Amino acid sequence: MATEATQDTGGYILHHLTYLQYDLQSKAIVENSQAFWVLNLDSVLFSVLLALVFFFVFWVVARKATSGVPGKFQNLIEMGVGFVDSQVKDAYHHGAKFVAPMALVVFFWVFLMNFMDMLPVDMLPIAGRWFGADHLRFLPSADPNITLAMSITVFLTAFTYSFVAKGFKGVGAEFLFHPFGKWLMPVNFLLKCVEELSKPISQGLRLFGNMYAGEIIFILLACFTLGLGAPENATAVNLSVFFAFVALAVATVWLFMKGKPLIALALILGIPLAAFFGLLPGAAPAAYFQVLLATAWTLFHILIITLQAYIFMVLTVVYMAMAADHH
Amino acid sequence: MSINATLIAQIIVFGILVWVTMKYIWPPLAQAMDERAQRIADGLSAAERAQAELKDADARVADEIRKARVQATEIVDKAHAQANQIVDKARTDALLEAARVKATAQADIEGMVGKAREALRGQVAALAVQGAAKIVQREIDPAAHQALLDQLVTEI
Repeated sequence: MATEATQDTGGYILHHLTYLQYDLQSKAIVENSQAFWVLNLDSVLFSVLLALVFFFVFWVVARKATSGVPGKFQNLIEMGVGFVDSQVKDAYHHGAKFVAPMALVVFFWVFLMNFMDMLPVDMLPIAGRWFGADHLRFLPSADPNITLAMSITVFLTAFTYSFVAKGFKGVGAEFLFHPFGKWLMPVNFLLKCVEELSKPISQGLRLFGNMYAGEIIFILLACFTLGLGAPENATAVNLSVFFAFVALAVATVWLFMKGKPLIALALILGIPLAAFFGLLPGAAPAAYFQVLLATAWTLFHILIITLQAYIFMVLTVVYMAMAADHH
Repeated sequence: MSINATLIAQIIVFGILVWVTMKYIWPPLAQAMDERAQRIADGLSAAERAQAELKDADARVADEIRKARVQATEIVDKAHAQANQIVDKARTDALLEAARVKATAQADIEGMVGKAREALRGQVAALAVQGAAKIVQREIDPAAHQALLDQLVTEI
C-alpha cells in the first residue's frame, strides 16, 4: 500500500530489509551496523513473542491434559503433538528424551515465525513507527541470525550427544577412518568436517533463503501501488478509486472460487487492456494487481511456510538420529 | 545480511524453550495421549473378550436347548411305553377276570345241571313208581320197596 509515498521503489525495499538494531556496546539504536555486538531487536522481539505464544498455548493444554475424552482445543494440540511424535518415532530410534520436545518446538516455533509472513508487509512497520521504531522486520525466520542460531543449536546438541551415544572412540573413529580407511586419515578428517559443518549451514540457510525470498516477493508486490498517493505523482488517484480496484480484485478472487473462472479471467485480461488504452484512471489498476498477486502468492506461500517448518523439524530429528546411530 | 549478537540471543531463547517444553509441555501431553491409547486398546480387547463370551454363552444355550429337547423326547417315549404297559395290563386283567367269571358261571351252570338232574332223577323214580303201580294196578309200598327204588334211581 501507499504508505511510503515519498520513497522510490529501491528505497522502499531497502527500508523493509533494514533491521531495528541495538548496539550493545554504545547502548544505542543504530542503523545498518556491521559490528558483531549488535542485536536485531525486531527479530529477537518477534522470535521471543512467538516462543511465548507457543509456550502458553501448549502449556494451557498440557496443564489440564486429560486421558479421557479431549476437548476440541486439546484435540487440536494433540494432533500437532501426535504428528511430530510420529515423525520422531519414524526417524529416531534411540533413547534421548529431548529429541521429541525439541522437534515439537522446532516445528511449531518455526511455523509461527514463518507465519508472520502472512501479515501485510506494512502493517507492523506502521505500528512500529507509532512507537518510534524506524525499521521493523517482523519475519524472524528471514533473519539468518535466527535460522542459523537454531540450526547451530541443533548441530551442537547432536554433536555433543554423539559423544554420549558412541563415546569418544566412536566419534573419533568416524572422523578418522571413514570413508577411506586408516591410510587416508587427513582426507577422512577433512571430509567429515565438511560433512558435519554443511549440516547446520544448509539447514539454517535453507529456511532463511525460502523465507527471505517470500518476503522479497511480498515487498515487490507491495511496490505496485507505491507512490500512488504521492502529491508529485502526475497520475495520483483518489482513495475511492483505489479501493474500488481493491474491491474488484477481491471480487475476482471470489468469482474464481465460486466456480466462475471465465468471468474472473475476463477481468484479469480486460483490466490491463483497458488500462493500456487509457480507459482507466491512471495507475489505479496497479492496486487490482497487487491484491490479486498478493492473494495468489499468500496461498502458495502457506505451503512454503509449512513445508519449511516441516523440513527444519525433520532435519533436526534426522541429525539427532545420525548422531546416535553407530556405523 | 550480517551475523551478530542476535545469533547468541536466539540460541539462548531456543535452548530455554526446548528445556521448558521438555519439562512442562511434552510429558503431560505425551502421558495423556499414551494413557488414552492404552485405554482405547483395553476397551477394544474387552469388547473382543465380551463378544467371545457371548458366543460361548450362545453355544451353551443351544446345547442346553438340544439336551432339553432330547430329554423331553425321552420322557414322552417313556410315557408312551408306560401307557402301553398299563393298557396291556388292563387287557390281561380283563381277560383273566373274564375267564374267571366264565369259569364261575360254568361251575354254577354245572351245579345247577347236577341239581336238575338230581331232581329229574327223583321225579323219574316217582314217575317210574307211579308207572309201575299203574302197571301192577296196586300200590307199591314205597317203604317196602325203597331199596328197589333207590337202585332204580341210581340206574337212571
